[in-house]
Amino acid sequence: MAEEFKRIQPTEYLRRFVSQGVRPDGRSLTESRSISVNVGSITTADGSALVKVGNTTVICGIKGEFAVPGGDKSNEGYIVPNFELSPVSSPHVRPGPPSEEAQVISHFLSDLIKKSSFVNVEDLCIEAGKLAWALYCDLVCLDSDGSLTDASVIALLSALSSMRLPRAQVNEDTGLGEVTDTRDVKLQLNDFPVATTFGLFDGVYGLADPSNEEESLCGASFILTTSDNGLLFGCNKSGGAALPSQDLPSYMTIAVNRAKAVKSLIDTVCRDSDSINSIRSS
Amino acid sequence: MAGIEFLSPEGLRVDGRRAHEIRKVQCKMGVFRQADGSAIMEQGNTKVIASVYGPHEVAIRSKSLHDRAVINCQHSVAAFSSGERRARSKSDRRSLEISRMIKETFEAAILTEFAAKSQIDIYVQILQSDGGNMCACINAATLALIDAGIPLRDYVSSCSAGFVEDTPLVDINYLEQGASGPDLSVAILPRSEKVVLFYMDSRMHVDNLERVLQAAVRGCHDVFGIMNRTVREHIEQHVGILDSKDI
Repeated sequence: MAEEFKRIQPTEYLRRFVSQGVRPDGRSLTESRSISVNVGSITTADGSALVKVGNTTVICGIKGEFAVPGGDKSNEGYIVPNFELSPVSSPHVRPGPPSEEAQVISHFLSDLIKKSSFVNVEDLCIEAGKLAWALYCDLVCLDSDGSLTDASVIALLSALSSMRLPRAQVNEDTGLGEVTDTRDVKLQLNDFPVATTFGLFDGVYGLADPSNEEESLCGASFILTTSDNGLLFGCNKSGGAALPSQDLPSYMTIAVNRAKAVKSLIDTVCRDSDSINSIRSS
Repeated sequence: MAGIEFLSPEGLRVDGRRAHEIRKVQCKMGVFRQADGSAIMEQGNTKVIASVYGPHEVAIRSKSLHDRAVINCQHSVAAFSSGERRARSKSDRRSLEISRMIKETFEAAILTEFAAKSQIDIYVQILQSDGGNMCACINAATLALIDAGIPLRDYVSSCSAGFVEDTPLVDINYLEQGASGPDLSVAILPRSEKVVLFYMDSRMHVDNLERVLQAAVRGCHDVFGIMNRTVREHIEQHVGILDSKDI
């Protein structure tokens, strides 16, 4: 009976739950889905992370390549994110060039890296003016169930935190870059900006971390990017239903708490991964 | 590649296997919620995921067939999957060729008469590439189709084989593929022992073909055994009854 009602009147179905302060999957309006992170599973990549936020699954692989630092940024390396939606992820994704949604997320990640400076691109420089690391971060969504931006950001942070590059230097004779076999160069992250998507239902109820079904029924959505120490890195809302401005502080609090949980999860995972690697290599 | 001993005098390969041994196979079904059927397949270091959508309405009306289902397949490679990063576009020729081969393989195996005027999509994504990619894609797709409940004539199990120092090597990895020997990929319907895919694009003397083919078919049977066990365990977990010996 509930199934039929959900099919015929999906909005009313959701409204019945939300007006009582819960959602069909049992979460409260402010509760996010459980997150699981697995790092280092792709051995061909220099750093990798597989992240699941509820059912949404995103995998990030980072490959470091040599590049020549450009012009006025002679002591900086590059971080180049690229997000794509695999046809594996959803029946609505058609094979072909990146869809609008994928391009928007790619751009979001690229902006986050450039403008928030949560990672120092100077650390990627090997020799000023001659050689630097270019980190190509490729993210693939394997299962699309809402809040793709959140999962992508967590995947990117996890992969960057757990990445181990080899030591590199410029060979004086040939002028080319060369690497050693050891992998112990870590990237230091200054901050952990975490994106939290909210769906705005009926113009009144803000649903944290909406699933695909919920997102499609919400009149608008907005993304708050915060870090665990209470800094705001970005807020994105493009049109759609209007959000009552007095509700913003409460959404910020939810986002900051989520950022704290994500940071401690990534720290634990990277620490465990390091200890496993050191046991393996000893 | 000079200097690499593909087969040591004791009969060990570069990764310690014997000539007739396949790599460690791990597979799991039902890994994604959005897809009707999905599976992840790992053969050694090669990791592949497959998703199946359908049967559903044909996307392009003109391609609809009145008496059977249309099979659509797309194969994509993640940029971080191989030793060198390659942001391969989805329409590069090698990807299209592999997509086509997988599609035709499954047209032979799926009972398409059961879903006339509809479309079945098979999507494979390579996450990590270490040789035997196409074979892993086919095996993953078989499991995903079973997970989706699409009627199949039989499992399709696939394995590759090479030939070094007068010995056929089963399930070759990336290093062994780089040796200048042949690289034969075979897919069979295990119960009827029929070959549905047979692909080689290197050079080999015709006298050796039978031995290499036999080795590859034995490898296919080994992989089939593991896939069959995985399917039964998956069903047991989800349904809880399994009393017939032969499904």
